[in-house]
Amino acid sequence: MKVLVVDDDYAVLDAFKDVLEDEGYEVSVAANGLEALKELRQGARPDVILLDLMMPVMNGWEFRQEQLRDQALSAIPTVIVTAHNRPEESAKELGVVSCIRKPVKPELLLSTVGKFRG
Amino acid sequence: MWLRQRARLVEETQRSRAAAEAVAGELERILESITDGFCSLDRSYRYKYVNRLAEEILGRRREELVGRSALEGSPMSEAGITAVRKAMEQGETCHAQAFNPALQRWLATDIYPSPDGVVVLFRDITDRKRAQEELRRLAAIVESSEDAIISKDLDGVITSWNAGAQRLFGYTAEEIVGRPISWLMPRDRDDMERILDRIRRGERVEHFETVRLRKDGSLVPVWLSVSPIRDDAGNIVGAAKIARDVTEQKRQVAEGERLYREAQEAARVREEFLSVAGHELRTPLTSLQLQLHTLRRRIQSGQQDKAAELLGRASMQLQRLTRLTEELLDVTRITTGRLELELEETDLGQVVQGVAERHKESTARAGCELRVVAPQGITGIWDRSRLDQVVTNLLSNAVKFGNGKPIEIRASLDTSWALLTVRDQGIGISPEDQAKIFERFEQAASKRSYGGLGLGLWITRQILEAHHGRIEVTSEPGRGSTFRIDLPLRPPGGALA
Repeated sequence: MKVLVVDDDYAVLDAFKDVLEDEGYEVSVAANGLEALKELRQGARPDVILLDLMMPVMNGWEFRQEQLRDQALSAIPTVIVTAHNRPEESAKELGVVSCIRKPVKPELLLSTVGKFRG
Repeated sequence: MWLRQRARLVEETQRSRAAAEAVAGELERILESITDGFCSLDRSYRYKYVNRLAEEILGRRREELVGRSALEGSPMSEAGITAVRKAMEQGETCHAQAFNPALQRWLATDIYPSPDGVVVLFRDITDRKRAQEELRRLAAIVESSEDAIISKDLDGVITSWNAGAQRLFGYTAEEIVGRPISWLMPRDRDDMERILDRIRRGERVEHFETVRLRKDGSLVPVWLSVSPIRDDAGNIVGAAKIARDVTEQKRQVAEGERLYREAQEAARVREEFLSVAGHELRTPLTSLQLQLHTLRRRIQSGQQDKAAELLGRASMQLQRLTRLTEELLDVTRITTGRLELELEETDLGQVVQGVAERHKESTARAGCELRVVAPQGITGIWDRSRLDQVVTNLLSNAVKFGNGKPIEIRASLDTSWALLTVRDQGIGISPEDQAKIFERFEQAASKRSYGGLGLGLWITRQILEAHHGRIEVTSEPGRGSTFRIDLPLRPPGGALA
């Protein structure tokens, strides 16, 4: 099962990668919305996208707009991972399936991602 | 014959006596009915005659006075006695106006010499004197009032003008009494007629806030209270106006409002900062939490070999958290004036090289090429770790906002000053934001896109100012920013701390 993690913080990307890969997920990473979009348009089809919101170049909101506009990508389940105080609000606003609040609890991360397995 | 003559003589004498008695009686009636106290004194100052009103004013019956000396035990005042003596001795008419302490009354006295002494006419002027005193007292109050006190007639002609009015409006009483009140009226105000209308109806106008015109043409905000003035018959004949300059009150109110807005803005900024700080702390906490989870799992499954590298990365997140905490503490240190410098001989080139070395990985990951021109030997008396913090802040900003383009750090020496520039070719800063970026909690770039507490440049500026140095920025949106630092090699005055 494939997971795409989008976050501008390399330490966060590495940490996600370690946790998920140890559980057998195939993980790819992108440092901002634009990089993620490039990867998807080159054919990557993750089973779930973990999306940070505050990122330079193209932030999570902008990425989400582009994703929803693209029929090939709009159906990919997306989970936002944010340090916002009220992530539910952003989740509703962005029409995503779920949200995880930073700091991320590993168990919650794994159970959330696990829902999209196969 | 002589009998007839004698009889006629007797008759005539009787007639003239009767006539004289009639005259005397008439005189006495007159003296008794005049509105002045009257008495006559003989050459020995003895009372010869005292009329009814004199009895009343002096508070003695005429029987007690007639035949007794006016100089001893008399109800006459000192001033009265002096005047009487003078009239008697010099044969002149004398006047006296004095307070009689025994009677507790003011008396006006006229003394006229007569063939066998003097006659004294006097009247009680206590009420008039008290009214005059009251009037003087009121006039003194009006004159010493801080407020402008003005009276005008119903046509709006100024009839009196106190010192307060002169201070407030600039006109002297001579200049303006007799002139129309409209001299004080700004051209675009028409509240005077409304006020006069209310006065004509007998109403008072209180604490009416308006604007008036000074002699020099400037406007002054005032509070007006206007009351009708009535004559003895109760007819309204004019208005008394009190005007108070409320410039200071207005300024204080405006100042209060400004402080309130500032406090609100400060509270908002603080609130926003706390939210940003919370966000910033959660990012390294996320990494740390996940790293520890992985570490535990790997140790449990016997993959110790991969643990060491993870520990290294975890400790980097701890350093990051420490730095954030330090920044927060710096804010407290700086705002409470407790930023202490540990000054020592420091090589700027060495500091720059060290920072560049530490940022090799992050600059590379951001795709920024880092060029450093920092010769060793630019030494000054500085706080080494604070200088490191300054260079670190500027470099991490350049990486963060550098858009993956080359970054250049250049250090040089200019006689007694060290110069440092950090240049990126990134997103740049708009002119209006350039003024704000050195303020606390400010980050020009959208907080939706870039992390950071928004404190770095503020702390940087504070550190440099503590070193008597300065920082400035030149930037063009889309073309990048150049931060330039000028730092004196040693503190002014040569002191080490």
